[in-house]
Amino acid sequence: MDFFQNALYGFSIALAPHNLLFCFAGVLIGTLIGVLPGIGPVNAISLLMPVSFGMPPETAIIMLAGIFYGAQYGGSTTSILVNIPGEASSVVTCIDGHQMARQGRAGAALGISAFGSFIGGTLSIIGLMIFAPTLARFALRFGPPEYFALMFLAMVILTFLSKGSMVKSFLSALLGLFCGTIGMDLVSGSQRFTFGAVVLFDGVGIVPVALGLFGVGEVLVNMEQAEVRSIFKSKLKGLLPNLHDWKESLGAITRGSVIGFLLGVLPGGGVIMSSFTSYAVEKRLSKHPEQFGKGAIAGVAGPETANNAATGGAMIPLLSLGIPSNISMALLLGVMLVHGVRPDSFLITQHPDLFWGVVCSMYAGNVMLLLLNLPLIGLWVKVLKTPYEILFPLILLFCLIGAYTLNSNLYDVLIMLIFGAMGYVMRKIGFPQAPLVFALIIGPIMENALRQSLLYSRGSFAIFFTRPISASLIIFGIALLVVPLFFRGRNERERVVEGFGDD
Amino acid sequence: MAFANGGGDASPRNRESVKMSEQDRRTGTDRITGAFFFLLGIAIAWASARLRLGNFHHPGPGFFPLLVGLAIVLLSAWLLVFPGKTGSDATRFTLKHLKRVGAVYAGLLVFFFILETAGFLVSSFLLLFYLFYIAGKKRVARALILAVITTGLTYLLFETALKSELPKGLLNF
Repeated sequence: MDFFQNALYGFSIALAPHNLLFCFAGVLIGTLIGVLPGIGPVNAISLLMPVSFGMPPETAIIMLAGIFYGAQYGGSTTSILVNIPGEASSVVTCIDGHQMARQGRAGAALGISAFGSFIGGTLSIIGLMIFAPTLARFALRFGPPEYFALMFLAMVILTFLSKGSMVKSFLSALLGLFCGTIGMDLVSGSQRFTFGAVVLFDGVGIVPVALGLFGVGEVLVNMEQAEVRSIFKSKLKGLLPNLHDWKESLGAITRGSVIGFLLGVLPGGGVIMSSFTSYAVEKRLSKHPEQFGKGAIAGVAGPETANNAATGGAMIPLLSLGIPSNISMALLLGVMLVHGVRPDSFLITQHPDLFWGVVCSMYAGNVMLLLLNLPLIGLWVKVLKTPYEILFPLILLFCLIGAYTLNSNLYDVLIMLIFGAMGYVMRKIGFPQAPLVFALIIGPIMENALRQSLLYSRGSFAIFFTRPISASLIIFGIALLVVPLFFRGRNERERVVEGFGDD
Repeated sequence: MAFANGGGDASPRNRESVKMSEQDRRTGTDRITGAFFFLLGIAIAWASARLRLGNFHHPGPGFFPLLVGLAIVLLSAWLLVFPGKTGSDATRFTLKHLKRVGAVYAGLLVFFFILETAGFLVSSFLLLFYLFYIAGKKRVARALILAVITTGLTYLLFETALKSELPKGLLNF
């Protein structure tokens, strides 16, 4: 098959010096923010989006993707050593990981985390290489109605899986859809909702919004807490898990890889859900379930493998269909759009350098991450000691400069500040922000698909239901929306979404 | 991601009354949010109607936003009718928090206003000094030193390494 040819081509791009350099930068930053609680891959990707515009598209995506999967390595470090999760996906790792640290087995926990992450990450890339082209080929049959239906379903799944009220999630998404319409309408040429403000002619802009919601907004929310962190003081002996550890973990790692990969594909699923699900599965399947919570290594190996396996899965919908499965992917989509790359089922064939280059760079990235997370673990422990009071002014300055240097336009900074305040308020009142950003990015694409569908069908909405693929997608979406309304199902959904770890 | 804790005083004897007011707070917040979105939805729908709606054959620029506006009106009505029903991470707006957050945000606004006249170096230095000062328990010397170092490093990073175009402002040389 030309699978190997593609792989070779991909590696020739991934291993080019400047791509390797930015891959390293990405995974290094990813590990760093994974380790630091209070800042995550979404924040870091938002902050670096302006920088990425000066590079060729494949380099930009290589670096930003590196942040995404790199953060899944770093999160376990704080979970194990300090019992504070660096990332939401490492929350479960605290449970058994920190117990292992207390028993003097921090090294083994960190080691199996790193190895599991590597195995999960690498296997999921293989899955990505196999399934993305297949899915893209299948999607060649997609027309505008199918794309509209798919994006509708993706939004529904995202709101379904969001924490909190579905109504609020949907309102957040609708607000995002509205913000996406601000600016010039490409079809008719008329200005929408700009009220004469020149800065809005090109739209609100994904970067000021992302920097505002996830940069400024996040910092403002964090201002409310005083942070106290005591680092686990103990020498780290031996980072290699022994044979016994490997025996206990092998099953968890294998299952974690599969679970993570599959759940990563779901919009709104991804790294968090994978780690929780893996923990629950391991506990159920274990011969010694009473050990869980007291330092069972499978409780570390499984979730850490799963959250890394989810990263490969998460990239499949983006690269083969142009549908982002989580916020980081949505931001990557935004970056691609700015570079003039339209991700859809033609991406793989029209931009093979981007697809195969990024995929192969992920192998390199995972190797780098394994090296960064084992020998250099002492470095990260020192980094953990950086007080947030020194960190946050820098984050804010980065946001301000990032917004300004986009177009040398001061008003982009203003948009960012507005969304920053919005982000703070939204967090406080329990309004999820993810649906807003998601809808902001895919909204214009959705509207375009809707218009083309109606044009083709001469005004009939029936087109969405007469075409089989589109019909099944929309009906499934409507079912997900409506079913929770009628059941105890509503509480069931919340119990599932919010009660992870209740097991 | 931060795991913001709303700061509850949940000692056992307070729990009953805390629970009650939790629910009230949720209901109250939802009502306000619902009302806000209801009005917003109407505004969007109205503004969209003023744009050319087109028809189902050829949807105009106002078509999609109108649908969005109407959906917002419907959902916010739901929120108004059934407030506080479902779980949320809503936390309290306390004055202490608002003061801290407001102080930081005010700094950002000042930066926005002075950036183009004062230039990057001056504005950044002032902002960083201010933020280090208010966050670092008001130690002037420490804030000064940190501000100098970080402004310098950031300048190097953006101006030289990333070649961004930063406003020169007052120090135009």
